[in-house]
Amino acid sequence: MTQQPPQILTVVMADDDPLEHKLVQRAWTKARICNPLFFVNDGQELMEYLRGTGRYVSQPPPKPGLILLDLNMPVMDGREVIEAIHADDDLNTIPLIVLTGSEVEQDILKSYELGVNSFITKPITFENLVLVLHDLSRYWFELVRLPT
Amino acid sequence: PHTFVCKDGTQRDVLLSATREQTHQGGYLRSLIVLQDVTELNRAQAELKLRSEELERSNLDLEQFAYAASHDLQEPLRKITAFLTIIQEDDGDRLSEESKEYFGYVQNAALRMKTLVSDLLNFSRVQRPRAMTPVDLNVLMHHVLSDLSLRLEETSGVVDVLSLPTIDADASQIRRLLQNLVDNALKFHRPEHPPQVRIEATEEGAWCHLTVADNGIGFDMKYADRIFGVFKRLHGRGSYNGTGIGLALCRRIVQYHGGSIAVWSQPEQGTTFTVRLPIHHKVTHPTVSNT
Repeated sequence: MTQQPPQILTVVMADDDPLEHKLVQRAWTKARICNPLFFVNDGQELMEYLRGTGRYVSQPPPKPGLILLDLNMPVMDGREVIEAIHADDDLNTIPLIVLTGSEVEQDILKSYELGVNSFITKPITFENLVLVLHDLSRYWFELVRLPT
Repeated sequence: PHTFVCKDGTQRDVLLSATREQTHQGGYLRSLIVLQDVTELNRAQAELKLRSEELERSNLDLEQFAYAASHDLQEPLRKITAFLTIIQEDDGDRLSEESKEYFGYVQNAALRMKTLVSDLLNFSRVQRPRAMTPVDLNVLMHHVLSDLSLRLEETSGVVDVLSLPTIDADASQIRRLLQNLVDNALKFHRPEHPPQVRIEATEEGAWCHLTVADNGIGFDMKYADRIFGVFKRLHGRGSYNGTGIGLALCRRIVQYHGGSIAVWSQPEQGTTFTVRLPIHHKVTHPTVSNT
């Protein structure tokens, strides 16, 4: 019987802009966050990732410790994703953080109404993005207790 | 209403009412019939309704535009600032001193654009107040001053608030209005002269006259109209920060409350803003009756 190594929590981010993937990855590394960060391109891919279905059926990824979500995505947008995750007993215990360009009141309100854990507006400068991600990882991985 | 057809074929809307008058003994005396041509009245009401609907649509369009502007314009801005930062980090040592300076200018421009976009969004989101409730202006000023505590500290400013009345208003909008006026009064102070601001109000009939007076840099009255324009500033970008939307917002809020705003100033002699607001509001939305 092989021993299971202690699981390090992974983070999955859904954003339809590949340049955002690049920027967030760079900021993540700069913020010295050890947790692996994976990217998906839209809501549908995110659901497949989380459930180990569709393009992820042969190699289902580990259940992530945190989900970062953009709101405006094609195919299945952020709001639909939030509802789908909430409806799924397996997935609704994973903290869901909206990370989006929007700072509009109705987006913020709607997101919390649908049940996200936090809503973060992407900062304008890269330096602030690094700080935001650093604080995010400290909060969710060091301060807060997560379900196993 | 009835529709009468005239001899020349045109149609008129007519309201008909009739009463019957009796004699002392209860017998029939006479009938009184009143015919009122309400064609013009109906036409005016229909037009008002149409204009009202057009305005609603226009406001909705503006809000959608503002949302798109805020959200969609900011994303490219983030790319600009972020990748500039990355280039500077990765290849900074290969850049000439001049180029490094230029990168700084581009970054600043992008940041300024972000502020402009945010301000524009905030401006457009001030819509006709949904509800007017009695607002104690003293309490409101208290909140405003606490919001401005940093500015007060920075400028060593003193704000004197005399007793203010309670008026029917949209509290959050009036708060914004007062905040902008007091912030300006503190911001545009003369160097070596800490700002002194005096806020007082009088009630004259149905109106509340509120004044915000400062001892700051003042300006030439020939600019009095201009300062209320969107993004209109009287000073170069180097001095006094701000996008120049504060007063445009104040005017918009004041107009939505059925009031007016005026200013008096002299260079180096301070500025006084006078806001005139109705004390009471009976109707919050103009209603058009369908007769």
